[in-house]
Order: sequence, then C-alpha cells, then structure tokens
Amino acid sequence: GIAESVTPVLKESKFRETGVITPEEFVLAGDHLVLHCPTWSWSAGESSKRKPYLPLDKQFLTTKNVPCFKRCKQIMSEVSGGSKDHMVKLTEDDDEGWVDTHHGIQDEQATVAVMSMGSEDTEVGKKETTTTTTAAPVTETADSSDDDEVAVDIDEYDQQDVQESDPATVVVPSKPIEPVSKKIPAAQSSAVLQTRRYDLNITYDKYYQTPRLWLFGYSENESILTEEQMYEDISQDHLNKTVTMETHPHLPPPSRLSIHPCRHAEVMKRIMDTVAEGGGHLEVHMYLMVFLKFVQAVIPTIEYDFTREFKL
Amino acid sequence: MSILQFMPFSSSLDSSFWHTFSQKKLDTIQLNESKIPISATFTNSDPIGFNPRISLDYSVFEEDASLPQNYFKAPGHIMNTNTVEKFNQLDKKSLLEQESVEKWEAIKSNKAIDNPSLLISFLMIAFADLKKHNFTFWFGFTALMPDEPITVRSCIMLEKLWDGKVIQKFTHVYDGFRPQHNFSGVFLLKNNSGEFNLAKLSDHSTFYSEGDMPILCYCDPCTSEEHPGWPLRNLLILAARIWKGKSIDVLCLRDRSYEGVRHIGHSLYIEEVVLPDLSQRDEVPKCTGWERNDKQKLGPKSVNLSSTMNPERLSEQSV
Repeated sequence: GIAESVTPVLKESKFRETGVITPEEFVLAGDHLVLHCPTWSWSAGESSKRKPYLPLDKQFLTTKNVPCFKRCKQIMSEVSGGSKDHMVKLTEDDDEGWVDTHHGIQDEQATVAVMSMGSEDTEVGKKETTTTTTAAPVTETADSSDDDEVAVDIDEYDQQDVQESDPATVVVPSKPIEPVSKKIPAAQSSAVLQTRRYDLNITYDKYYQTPRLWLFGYSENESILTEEQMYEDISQDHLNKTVTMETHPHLPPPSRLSIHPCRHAEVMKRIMDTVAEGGGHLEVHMYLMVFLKFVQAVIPTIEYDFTREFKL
Repeated sequence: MSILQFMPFSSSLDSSFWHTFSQKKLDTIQLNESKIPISATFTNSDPIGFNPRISLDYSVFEEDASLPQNYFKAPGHIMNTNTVEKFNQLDKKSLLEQESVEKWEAIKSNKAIDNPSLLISFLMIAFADLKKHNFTFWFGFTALMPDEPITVRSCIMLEKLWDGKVIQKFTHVYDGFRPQHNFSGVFLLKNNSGEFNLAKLSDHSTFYSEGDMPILCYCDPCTSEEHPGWPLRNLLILAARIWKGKSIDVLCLRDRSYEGVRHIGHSLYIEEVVLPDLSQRDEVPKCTGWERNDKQKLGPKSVNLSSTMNPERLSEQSV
C-alpha cells in the first residue's frame, strides 16, 4: 500500500530492539491507521495541554461512538469450553501477558460479577453485585434529588403545556437498561438498540514510550457510565491489573479509564519476534494496528474498528 | 401517502463538558443568566441502531475546533440559571417559541439557504450546582411545524433502490463535491439514470430544469430504516418556501466505514415528499422540540459528578 512505500528510515528508533516507539513513529503509525480506518481521526485536544514533541493537530487519536453490545461476562459464558476467533496465545506459561481472554475460562469465573479495583480479598464478597454505583457519576431523572432542597419537579413539566402535541415525532419507547440481548443485532427495523457506546482515544505515553488506550462510556440512555459500569466491559483477566482511572494527558478532568501501558512494549517485542520466526517482518507503521489487535483481549466486546485481515 | 415522522435528537454530554462549563462559569459567565453561544456536533456515521445524538464535550466554547470526517457542527446556546427556583420558573414554552421565531426569520430571509446549520441550532437550559457538582439540564431542539403534517409516498433504504455500482458512482461524485464547497451537510442532487450531479442548496434556482424532481440531500444522524432524523424537519420548512407546494425526493445520507469498507446503503430515500406552500406565509409556525428524559417524559435530566469532580478525589488520582 501507499503507507508502506512512504515509511521513512527513523533514527534512534528502538522499536525493533525493545518494542517502544518515538513520537515520530507514533505519528507515522497513527497516519497509517487513519488512512485505513477512517473511523479513527487525529485530535488536537485541549490547547493548554499540547505536547511539544507531537504536531499541533496530531496530539492523539480518537474514535467515537463505538458500539458495545454486551458485557464481558456474557461473552465469557458463551465461549467457555469452546474457542472462537481468539488471539494468538503468545507463550504457554505466561498468565500475566496479553493472552486469549476466552481461553480456559471456567464456569465459576464466568458468573463472577464485576469487581472493583481494590484488593481481591476484600472484593470477593461483592460477587453478583454488579450495580454498585456509590462512587461515580449517576445520571438520573431529576425528581430524585436531595430531600431538603428545592427539587426540579419533572412531573409538573409533563403536565404543563411546554409544547404543542405533534404527530410527526417518533415516540421512542422507554429503554430497559438490562439485560442486553446476547446476539449482536444486525440491521433491524426501526427498533432502537439498547447498547452502550464508547469513545476511545490513543495517546502517546511519554514515559513508557508506547501508545496508551483510553475509554469513556455512555449508557443505553446517553448518560455517562460509572467507573464500575465500565469495568463490566473489561475482561476479567485484566480487570485488577491492567486498567486504571487516570488524568487524560490532553483532555480536561475528570479522570478516564485507561489501559495501563506498562507491558505494551514487551508484548510488541514478543509479537515482532513471533512474526520474525515465521519469516515475516513487522514495520513500525503497523504498530497501532497490532496494538489495537492485542488490546482487544482487554476489551473484547467494544467493537472498535481496525483492519482485521492483518495477520500475525 | 403517509405522515412523515422524524426521530428526535437525544443530548449526549461528555463529563469534560461539565468540567469546561464549570470553569467557564467561574471565570467569565459568573452570574450571567443570558444565552451564551456554544457549539455541539452530530454525525451521520453511526452504527445501525444508535440514537441520533447532539454531542457536547470540552470543545463547546472553541469555535474553530476541527471535526473528524462525517461530523457536523450544531450551533446552540446555553442558558444557565443561578438557582433551581429560577430554573423551574423559566417559561419553557415561550423559550422554545423565541427559538422558533429566530429559525423562521433565518428561513424567511434566506439566510438558512447559505447556512443550513442555523436550522439545527438548539437551546440548552441548565442549573449548575458547582459546589455539589450536580447539574440539571434540558435541551430544546426547536422544530417548526407546518399546519398539517407532511406526507410522503414511501421511505426506502438506498440499497433497495440503487445497486452497488450506482452507490459507488454516487459516493465518488459526493467525495469530489464535499471538499470544494465548504460542505454544510446539505446539498442538491440530480440523478439522470445513474449520472449524478451535485450542487449547493443556494444554487437551487439554476440547478434544476423545468420538470426535474428536486432531490434534497442532507447528512442524517438517524439510522432508522423507517424514519429520518430531526434536522430534516426545519429543512423541509425551508424547502416548502423554495419549492412551494411541489413534491420533492429526499436523500437522508448515512455514511459509515467499518473494517475498511464504506457503507452508505443504509441511507434512507424518501419518495415524493409533498411540501406545503409556505412562500407567502408570514406568521411563525407552531413548534415542538423539548427533549424527553430517560422516562420518556417531558422534563430535564440531571447528572451528579461529585465523585469524579471533587478536588480531593482528583488529587488522589494524580499521585
């Protein structure tokens, strides 16, 4: 393709030795991603947070409104015992690595509900309580505000004559939040799907010298997902070690969910070695395609776009 | 013939919007309760089944923020009250009517022909409790209503009307047209058995010859197989002044890439939209547009971000 032919020779690249990339290589790989998957685009981010080592208009990559039809525990129970479309397991004995999330899931694990980021010991008792929403944003209709204050009374509005009645407005039925259908719905009639969606960002992590993935989710009714709700979309294998809430380097607070990059370089290096063993050669512009493929193990139900034909 | 029904917009707010707004309120808005211009976006590239949305994030106050492909600007205003009592007392009906007057003026003066984004402008009323990080808000997506609902012959998916080759041909012409014309998301189409010509809305009087059926096209945030999205409502009111009393076709263009493949076959083609004649009308049409909340009631939504926005929690996380 075009991108292959314009790949420049990069000085001081450590990509091949250690799996890390320079900002220039990040931009190169980002351009390649945007070219092949137009759902991804470059963003400038907040002007006060611009990083001098990246071009002004290419600070990070973003893709919005990515569907997430089911929760992780649903697909876990579907594939337990079988294997489908899973990643290459890089090394047999490495349970810390980026491995096939579907592999070897036991039934018990499949039913374990979402646990928070705390130590596992204290969290075990929380099994089955998926919807603890004590410490994160809660969107609700306005009639349940604090007792001792003047509340916004929505029932009153509904009776008030705030607008004309209108036969030309589609009345969208009230949507149940759960359960989500197990099958991924194909093109259907006018029914509006009950699906979560995510905005994803890839930033350049200066410290780890690798890309870093960020997630921001919305519920079926457009409200912001709580931290705990987003954990339902993280594979159980990675929940307690790979995802953290942190300040986004290019966007205003509050914090966002991020896949921690501490093992990214290592995994990239191993993938390159695997490719080399097979007589292949992985060029640096492919970096983000490979990256998106392996982070899929962490967020297997978030259906973001990348070139799936790519082979390891 | 059946009544054309439109899928309403939902508002979708990123938490960075509330952070940016809170800063702005402290720094410049302060106790000002008048309308302040903001800029939101919508897209016609959603997966099938998604709700059409108006999205707001940290960039609402940046006028020249660049947009990803297939994203469009929706200008609007935010009106923030300082107390919940004031929020409750706002005359919602007359606020929406004021918006409808502005839209009607933009249509009558032909300003909307050159700048169709005026037709999708919205009003957001809000009460922001900055101490508790509690936000109450309500969106009005003002739509003008003709005296009788507009009727159409049929709505069909584009892929049932055009085969793959024709769709490809159209896409090619469309991609050539977009970058040249300061693309607003609204355009005109001529289809001479698969030979496509595109033009800006402002060229409507010279573009079609006598006897041509005009085809009005717009980038449609909706993904429904049966209904177009909200932006078409006011656009048809404008069309009813341009093509007074005639019938037109409408292409609701949806444009999505996935796994390297472009899809526009899920666009909606509306045949024979019967337009009223609004060319001589002066009186402002009636309007609708307040968003329904999660319970499908006419009323505000609220969000509490105290857990993610309070300073102690933020400093913990930044360690």
